[in-house]
Amino acid sequence: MPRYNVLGRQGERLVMMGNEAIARGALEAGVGVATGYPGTPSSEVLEALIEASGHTGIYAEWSVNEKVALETALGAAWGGLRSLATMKAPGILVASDPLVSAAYSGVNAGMVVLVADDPGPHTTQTEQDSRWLAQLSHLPVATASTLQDAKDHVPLLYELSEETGLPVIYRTTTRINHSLGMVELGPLRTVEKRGEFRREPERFVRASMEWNRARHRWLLEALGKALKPRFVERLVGSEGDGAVGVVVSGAPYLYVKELAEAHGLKVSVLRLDMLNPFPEEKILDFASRVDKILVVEESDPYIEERVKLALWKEDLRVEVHGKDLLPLVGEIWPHHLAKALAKLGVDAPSLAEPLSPGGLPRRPPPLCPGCPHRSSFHIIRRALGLEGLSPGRVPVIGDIGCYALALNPPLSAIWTEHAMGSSIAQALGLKLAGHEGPVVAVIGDSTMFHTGLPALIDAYNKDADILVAVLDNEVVAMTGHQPTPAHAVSPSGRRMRPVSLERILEAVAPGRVEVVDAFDVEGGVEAVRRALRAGGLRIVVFKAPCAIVARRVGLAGAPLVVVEEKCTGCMACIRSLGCLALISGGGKVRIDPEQCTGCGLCVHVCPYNAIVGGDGA
Amino acid sequence: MRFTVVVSSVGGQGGLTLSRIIARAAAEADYKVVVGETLGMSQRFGSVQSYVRFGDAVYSPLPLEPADLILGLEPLEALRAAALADRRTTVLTSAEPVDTQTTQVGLEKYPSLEWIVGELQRRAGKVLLIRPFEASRRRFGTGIQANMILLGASASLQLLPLSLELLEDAVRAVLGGRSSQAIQALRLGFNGAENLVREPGRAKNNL
Ligand SMILES: Cc1ncc(C[n+]2csc(CCOP(=O)(O)OP(=O)(O)O)c2C)c(N)n1
Ligand code: SF4
Repeated sequence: MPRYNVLGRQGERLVMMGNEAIARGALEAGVGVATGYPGTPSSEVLEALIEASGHTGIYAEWSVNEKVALETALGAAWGGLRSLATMKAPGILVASDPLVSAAYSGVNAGMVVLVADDPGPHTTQTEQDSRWLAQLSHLPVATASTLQDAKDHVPLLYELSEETGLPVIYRTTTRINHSLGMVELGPLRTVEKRGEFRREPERFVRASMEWNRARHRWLLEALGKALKPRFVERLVGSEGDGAVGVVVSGAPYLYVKELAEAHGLKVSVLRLDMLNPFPEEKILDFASRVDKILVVEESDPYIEERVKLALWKEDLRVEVHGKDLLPLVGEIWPHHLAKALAKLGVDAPSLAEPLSPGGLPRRPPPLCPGCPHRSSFHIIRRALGLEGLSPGRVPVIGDIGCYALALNPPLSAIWTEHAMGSSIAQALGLKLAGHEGPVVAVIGDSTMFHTGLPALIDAYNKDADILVAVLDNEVVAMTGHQPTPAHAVSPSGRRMRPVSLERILEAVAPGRVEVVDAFDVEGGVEAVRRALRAGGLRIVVFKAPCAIVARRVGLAGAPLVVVEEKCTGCMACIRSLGCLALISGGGKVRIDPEQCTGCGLCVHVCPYNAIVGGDGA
Repeated sequence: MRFTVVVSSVGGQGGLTLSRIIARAAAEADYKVVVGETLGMSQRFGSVQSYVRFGDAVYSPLPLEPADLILGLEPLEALRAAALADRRTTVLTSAEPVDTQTTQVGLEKYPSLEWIVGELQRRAGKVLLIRPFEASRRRFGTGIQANMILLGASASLQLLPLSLELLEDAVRAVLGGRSSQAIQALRLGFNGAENLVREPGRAKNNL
């Protein structure tokens, strides 16, 4: 049974997730190469394309990081195949160097860079508004405001990319990526070669400043071609009739539409999915038909500022509202919109703001039962203690991945979590600032491959006193268990050449790498103690598969049990590990057999030997 | 007609699958359908809410009005979702609490079930309780079908304007090869609703 539903017949109407709709759009555009680096909100686009790749001519696989994903897609588009690179907002910053240069070289076949921003935020470290990349790169930027358009815009954006010769940034938001709704399918298109790569140094070589100036001029001219009616008419829509005009972009368009149809809201609406170049004529025409304008957009006042500028240039005096009435932080909800419209004198219903009862306990995401990271942190804490170091005094510089969840009590391990691959160089900086005693940098396998390695090279080269703990769970776990370059088979079933992280680490820091089983508490503690005593840059790799993957492939062990008579109810297991398979009740602890993976870590911390294997051993 | 169901659960309990099945059934019944979600950082053991909205003029993945029905797979999470409740709302929730990381280690206190029920009753028109994990374990040896039992019971009590037949088709469409036990569970909830579901009185200590 496929997980995603993207191969239906033309004309079929299906309930689809926004990300499935975008993936389908890529298949309807005949995309030949699709790349990306995972991390919600757009992960399912590439997952769906990978799953579909057996049935279509597409090459779809995960990349090692976003920069590589973008460069691979760019090379493919130079080579004449339509290509797609998918990433999250911080990811397009990782890829921004080649992105900005790609605007000078352009493409020979359509290329789309899908970046999913996350107003809220729901799962992203910042509320970054990637629309500003329009100003930075001068590339065309578009978004989608409905699920149907999330799909239909994709083939259109490939045409726009080929018309202008430029890569196009498709910027969506979580609320579109992760909603489900009815989408009508169009025809699938086969992968076609659309151009040839030739030697054109003026275009592809950035070493001549003269060429660079020429290409900048070329870029500005090329961008203007996106304003052709066949693009503007599809990416900008106008409907409704009222003295107040709403310029709206993204999911809030759906709130306006429902308020109009279900509550009789009377406003003029301009749906704006074209964000760069800015369709000023459409704005001016709209402004001349209304008394006031409310710009409804999430995150920054990107459209609002450009609307004001367009009106100012024509000396058109229309009142423009936006972030004075709507939130600058977090998502816009329908009630925000109704209130803003009421303030402008529109007869809008008063919608209650959903407020959860106060004082409810929070439910922060924990490490899963059986997670190897829990054991690794337990080992590090114990080793520090045995070396006479107070765990609360040794900075544990974290990185991005499931291990960052060890931030929460009871492990309370992580001191920082910043950007992917940041931990090691931040630890280096801390040492250079004169921090006394060891510093621990914790980084996962995928994050090490992603951007950790350059920092590791630098830190070894400078021989800083850092313990680098590599938590190798053999997968990109937090984002949905995508593969790392260490895998021999890709999720599409393609054979890959597995890359050995351990050999890379050993090559960077010869003789300084120890590999331990993450669940071998004694062995791990000894390895960490040796590393701490030796000083200099030392690497301990904690290896064990992610518990979710282990369970999926039948590798999880039999659940453990608590011998009731032996359990004194001291709660040492729960208080030190916080594993949610341990359940307290009636002054004792029991183990939930449906959650326990038999990892055995709690056996080590129970002072009364009350926890035993399922068979009583 | 416009109908909003809020499915509120702990990650891993099957709340998202449940909302997709309802959406699929509503689409088969020729309604317009949208589903919105609020996910925490992780789908595992975090709070998960989804909004399934169907009817005639339905476009928004976020609810405009209070919910018609809140389906809770966990009582505390049902109360969190009561942000979207008013007098017209019915709540059908599991009465089987699941600790959060903070309540497990004693940083915060998990409220008593009576208190949760009382708070739900203050906010919603009607509150009904069920023990779907217990029922699933009794029948299948695992709690995994709790979501289907909850769904079957809600259809049987006509809290959801969708027939058992439509729901069964939707389960087959969404779960494919994994649907046969789910359908048994759906029917178990549907046929056993009378015994499985109870309406707590307004006095204390009813469960
Ligand atoms: C630049 C960037 N790209 C992607 C992400 C999304 N992301 C968050 S956690 C994570 C997984 C990291 O994997 P790994 O280091 O192996 O840790 P694990 O979750 O497996 O423990 C990713 C890719 C991000 N936060 N920033
Ligand atoms: S998904 Fe895997 S790595 Fe992440 S917390 Fe769960 S067991 Fe640990």
